[in-house]
Amino acid sequence: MPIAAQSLRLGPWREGVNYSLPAEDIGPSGLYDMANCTVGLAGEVSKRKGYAKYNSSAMNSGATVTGLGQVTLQGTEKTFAFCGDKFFDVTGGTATDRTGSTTITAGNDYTWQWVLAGDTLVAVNGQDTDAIKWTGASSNAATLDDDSRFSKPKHVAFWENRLWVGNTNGTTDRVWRSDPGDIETWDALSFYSLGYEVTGLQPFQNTLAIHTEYGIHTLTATGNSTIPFQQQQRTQRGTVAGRTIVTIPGERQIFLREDGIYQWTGGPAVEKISFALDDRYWSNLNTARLKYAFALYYPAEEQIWFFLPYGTSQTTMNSVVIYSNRLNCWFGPYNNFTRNAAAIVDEIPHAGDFAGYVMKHETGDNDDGTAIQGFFETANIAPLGDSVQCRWLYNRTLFDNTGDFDLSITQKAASIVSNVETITMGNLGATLDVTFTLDTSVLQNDVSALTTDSDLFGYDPRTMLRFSNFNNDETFTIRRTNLQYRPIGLTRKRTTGIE
Amino acid sequence: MTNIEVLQIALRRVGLNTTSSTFKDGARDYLNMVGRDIQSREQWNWLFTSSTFTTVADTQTYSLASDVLTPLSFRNVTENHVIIIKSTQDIDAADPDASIDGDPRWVAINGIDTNGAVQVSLYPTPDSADTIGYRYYREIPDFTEAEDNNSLDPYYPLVIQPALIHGITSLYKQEKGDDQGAAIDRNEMERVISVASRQNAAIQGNRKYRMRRSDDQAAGQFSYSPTEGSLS
Repeated sequence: MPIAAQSLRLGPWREGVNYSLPAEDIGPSGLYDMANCTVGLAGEVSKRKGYAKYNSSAMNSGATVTGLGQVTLQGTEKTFAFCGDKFFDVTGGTATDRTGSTTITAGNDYTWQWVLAGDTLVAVNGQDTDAIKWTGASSNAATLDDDSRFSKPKHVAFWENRLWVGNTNGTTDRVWRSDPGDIETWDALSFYSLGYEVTGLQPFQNTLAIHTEYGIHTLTATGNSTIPFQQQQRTQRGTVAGRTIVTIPGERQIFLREDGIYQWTGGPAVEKISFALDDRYWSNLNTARLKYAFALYYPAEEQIWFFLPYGTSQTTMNSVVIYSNRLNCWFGPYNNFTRNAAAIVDEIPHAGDFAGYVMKHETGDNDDGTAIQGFFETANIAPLGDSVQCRWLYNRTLFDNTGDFDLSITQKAASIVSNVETITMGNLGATLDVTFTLDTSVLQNDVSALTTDSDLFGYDPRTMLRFSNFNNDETFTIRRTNLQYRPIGLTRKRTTGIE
Repeated sequence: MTNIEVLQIALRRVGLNTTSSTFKDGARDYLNMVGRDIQSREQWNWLFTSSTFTTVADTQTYSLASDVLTPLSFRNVTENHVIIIKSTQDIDAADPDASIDGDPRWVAINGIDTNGAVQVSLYPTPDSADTIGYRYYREIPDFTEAEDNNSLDPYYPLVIQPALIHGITSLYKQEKGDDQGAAIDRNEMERVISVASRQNAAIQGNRKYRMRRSDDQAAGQFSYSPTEGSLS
């Protein structure tokens, strides 16, 4: 006999997480809270992949990684890292000291920004007097000749066949340009003063975008040899963290400010795109340290990872929130690790830690041997409105056949005592024609998504679920869940909460 | 079953958390209410019991045991005779100033004492310490949280215990506004009580009762007299 009940479907969660709204005001395709989970293209939520050491031995006796990247030099793809007071060629996971005679000052905050200038890597950190350059192969890094025009530049870009540096020692509002085709020739008057401290440089469309906290300025080529570039202030808001400027396909420049993450599409205005991170997430960030935040663009997934300091006194970047360009939504954070620099290496996000290691992310189901603590919480929806009491019966969860793992499902509501149920996912039987043995094997189900039911309890107009798995080497992918309930009708509540 | 087992089965059927003290307290209240209801339905064999008290010289009134619901009979064990239940008016008529003492022959129900226990008066007022035995139908006291892990078996036989569960769920669903579910569970409760009632009626085994003849010199509410003759 069928169960006399109605069904509330939660998910797919294509709207991602929304920290700015209470759970009651989020829709069925939004999430109230999460950590260490990914929202996929179909709106499914998966436990994030883990990370593993890229270099098996710590660089520079376990010093902090302050810069990381991968470029093609002399036709060879090179992975490099700054670690403590040294510069390493870390291609393939083997670190080779290429510091040479350059001066590199160790310090967690002396992070490096770099650019591929033609066939030369140029990097600056705002602390050491000279920028350094590296041409790859077996050569060591060397000091960039800047004709003694400036020192300690903080930002660097390569555009219009010129090298550009910004925010130099004593002239923080200044942007210098090299001669065309010669990154080591700098004329005495080849600079622009903006009046505000330069916070970032990045080519954008047909301009060089120069960020200050108080606006984005652009340089546009004029074609005139006497006045080769026209300077123009385009917006009234720019980034506070140069390492967070990311330009993504569709020509959108995404960057961080103290109150959130913005995008600029080249017009006269910037637009805040991180409202969903306000309140319950953003208010917990240490805004004083946001200028040290950094970001990377993950092309394969069309994601931008922002590494942020979560905790009002948190100094290092311990929380990664992710913007999905495909879904135009946010998810994360990824946490339980700290990072100081990040880059795409071999098409996968890598990030440097504070112990001499570059960590390869999006790898495996553990964090270098430690369990990943992944969870997400759905919206708290009243299917028939706030006045109609419902008896919650059970929920049917649709999940991918990723492994024979347990998943905890916690039910919560104002009038319902929190309750945890466990479902076992997966169906790792034997595959026909591969490992299946008659009379001994269980035939594996070849359907990717499976379902199972778990109990719900209590009476309340609304309820929400939390899915979690904190076990090592275990993962999950939840596509949606259907909550079965029986409408009771209008009832008076005598007290607030459990009764 | 233990009390807590009954409570948790009921909570599970209602769809409430079985470990919440709030819900367990609510279910226990309903257990006590349903228990009172069932106890009052009929003269259950499992409520039938006996006790004694000892008289004190020159003391006319005595309190029975706290679980006495309906006294049935009294006897003077010491003096080896039955004590007849009379009304207080009979005792007042026989000894208006309660000055006569001796071996009590009559007992009357006085009401209840300040603790709620049934109180009786004896006539004549006892003049010595006699053991008075009495039989009665008891009431089951309200259960508290401290008794959650105790067995229900000394109070309710197995045949009636499911009715307690259905009764709790019926009342709880009614509280939650689920009148339909409450009605279904109430029907279940009544069905179980009906079965238990039949079992209660057969508790004396194959013993048969028949109406007594009017000429057998026995006192009774009913009597019949066979008449000779034919219906043809």
